[in-house]
Amino acid sequence: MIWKLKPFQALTTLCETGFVVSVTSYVIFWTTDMLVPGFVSRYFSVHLFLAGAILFGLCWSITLKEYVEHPWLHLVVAILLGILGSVIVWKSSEDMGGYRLLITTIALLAPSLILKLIRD
Amino acid sequence: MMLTRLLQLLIIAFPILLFGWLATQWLVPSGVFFVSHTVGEESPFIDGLQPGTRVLSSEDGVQAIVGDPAFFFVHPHRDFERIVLEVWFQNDMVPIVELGALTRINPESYTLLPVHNRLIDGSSWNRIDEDGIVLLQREKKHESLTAFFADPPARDTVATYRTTFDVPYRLPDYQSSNRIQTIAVSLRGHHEFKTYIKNEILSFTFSYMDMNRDDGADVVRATVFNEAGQPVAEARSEDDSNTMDDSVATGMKTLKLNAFGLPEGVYKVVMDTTRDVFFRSIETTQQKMVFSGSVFVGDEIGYHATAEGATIWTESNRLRLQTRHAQGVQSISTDSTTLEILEPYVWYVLPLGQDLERIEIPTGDVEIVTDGKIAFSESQYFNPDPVTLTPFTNLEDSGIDYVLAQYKSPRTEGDWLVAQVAFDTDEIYTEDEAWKFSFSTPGIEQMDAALLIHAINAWMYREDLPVVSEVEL
Repeated sequence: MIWKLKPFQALTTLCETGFVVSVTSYVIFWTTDMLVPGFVSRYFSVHLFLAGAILFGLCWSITLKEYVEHPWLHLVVAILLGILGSVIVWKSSEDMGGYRLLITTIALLAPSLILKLIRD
Repeated sequence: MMLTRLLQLLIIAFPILLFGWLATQWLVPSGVFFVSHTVGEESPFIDGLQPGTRVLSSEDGVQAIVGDPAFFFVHPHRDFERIVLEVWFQNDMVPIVELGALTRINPESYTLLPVHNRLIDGSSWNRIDEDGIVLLQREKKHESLTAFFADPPARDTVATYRTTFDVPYRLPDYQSSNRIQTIAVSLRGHHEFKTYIKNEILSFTFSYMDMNRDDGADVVRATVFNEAGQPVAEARSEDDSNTMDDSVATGMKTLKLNAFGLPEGVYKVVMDTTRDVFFRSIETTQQKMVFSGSVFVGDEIGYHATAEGATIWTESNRLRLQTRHAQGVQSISTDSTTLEILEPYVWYVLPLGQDLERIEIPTGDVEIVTDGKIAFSESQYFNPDPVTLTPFTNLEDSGIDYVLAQYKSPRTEGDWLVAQVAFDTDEIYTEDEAWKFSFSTPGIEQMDAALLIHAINAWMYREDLPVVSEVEL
C-alpha cells in the first residue's frame, strides 16, 4: 500500500503549508490593510485568505494521520492573538468611554480563555 | 518529492508576489498611476456619476448626463501632485462642456476647464491654433497669434474664453471724486468685485455682522489685486471668538480697506469670508464698482424687522437665482418682466436683453449667479472685462470679430470625442480622502439635450517625481 501512502503524505504536507501560509498571509495582509487603509481592500477582500486557511486546514485535518501536541506553541499563539486583538479593539473603541478598558481586557484574554476551554 | 517541494514553493511564493504587486500599486515607483474606468463598471478609484436626478442609468458602457451639474468622486490611494482626467463622450447639442474640480467649500467653488466648446469647434470663422490658444477671426486679418497681439484690435471686438486679453481697460473721461457712496445691501459670505482707480485712494469700509449660524471661525479678509493678478493691499478682521452655531449675532463691526498710490487701472477686490458673515453696507469713494460671478443678497433676520432686499443693474443676458428658505419666495421684477421664485432650492432663470437693466429683489435671501457683472447703482456699473464667450453667445450677432480662447479641441476615437483636462491636486479640496469633480453643462435642461459619457480615465502623478509627459495635453 506504499503507493497510496506517499501521495497522501504529500497532500498532507501541501495542506499544512497552505494552512500556515494562509494564516500568516491573513494576519499580515489584514494588519497592513488596517495600517494603510485600502492597501488590500481596494483590490480584493482580505478574508479570501481566511477562506484559504479554512480549506487548507480542513484538508490538513482530514489527511493527517498522527499529530504532536505543542501546548507552549498554542499558548504563545493565543497570547499573540490576544495582544493583536486588544490593540485593534483599543484603537477602534475611542467612543466607548469607560467601557474601553474593559472590552480591551476581554479582547486580550479571550484567545487564552478559548484555548483553555478547548483543552478542558 | 520534487513536485511537492515545487508546489510548496508556489504556495509560499503566491502571497509574497501578491504583496509585492500591492506594494507597487501603493508606492507607484513609475511616478504615474493609471485608472481606466468605463461608466457603469465598479471602480475603487472613480465613482459613478451623480446625482440620479441628473444622470440616466448606464447602459452598455454609456451614461447620459441630462442635468447640470453632474459630478463624481475620485479616491486617490496616496498623495499625488497632479491628475489628468480623460473623458470619452458624445455631445451633439450642449454649447460648452467643462469639467471642474472642487477647490473650496462654503460656498462651493470649482476650477473649470474646457472639455468641449461647440461654439468654437462649430464656427466657420478663420481659426488659428497655437500652443493651446485658439484665435477665431470673422475675417482673416492676422496670420498668427504673434501678429494678433502685436496689433491688437479694440477690446469690445474680442470675446475671450478661459483666457485673458491683455489690452488694459481705460476710462478716458473718468474723474475721481471724494463723494462717499454707500451700498446698503446685505451681502452674505464670499464676494468679488472690480473697481476703477485713477489718481485717488482706494477706500472701502465694510460694515458686517457675524451671525454665527455655522460652526467654525469667521475671519473676514479683503484683498486687492491689480491687473496682473498680484495682491497689492489687504485688510483682515479676526473671528468674534464665537465659533459655535448658536445664531448669536455680534454687533456691527467694520473693516477698513485703504490703498494709496495705486496706478490707474482696474482692481479686483475679494471679500473672503464664510457664510456666517453678512456685509450690511459698503462705503466707498470709488465711482465704479461691479460684482462678478455670484452675488448672495442675504436675509435680514436679526438686522431689520422688514427685509429691504436690493436693486441691481446688469447687462448680462441671463441671471440664475435661487433661495434656500421659504421666506425667500418672492417676485423678482425688471422693467419689462417678472420672475416668480416659487420654492426653495430650485434654480430659476431670468432672461434679459442686451442693455443695462434694473432688477428689483424685494426681500433678499437670494443667490444670483451670472456670467456678467452686477452693480448696485446705475452710475457704478461698468464692464472692464472683455466679452466672455458663454453658452448663450451668438457669435454671428454679437458684434464681436474675434474669439480668443485657451482651448484644445477633443480628438476623435471612433464614435467618441476624447478630451483631457489636468488639475494640480494641491488646489483640489479633499474630504474623506476623495476629490470631487463636476461636469458643467449649462443649458442642457432647457435644450432637452444629453451629454453621453463612455469612460473617465485618470492619470495621477506622484509629487516627488518630474511630471511625465506620456499624456500630451
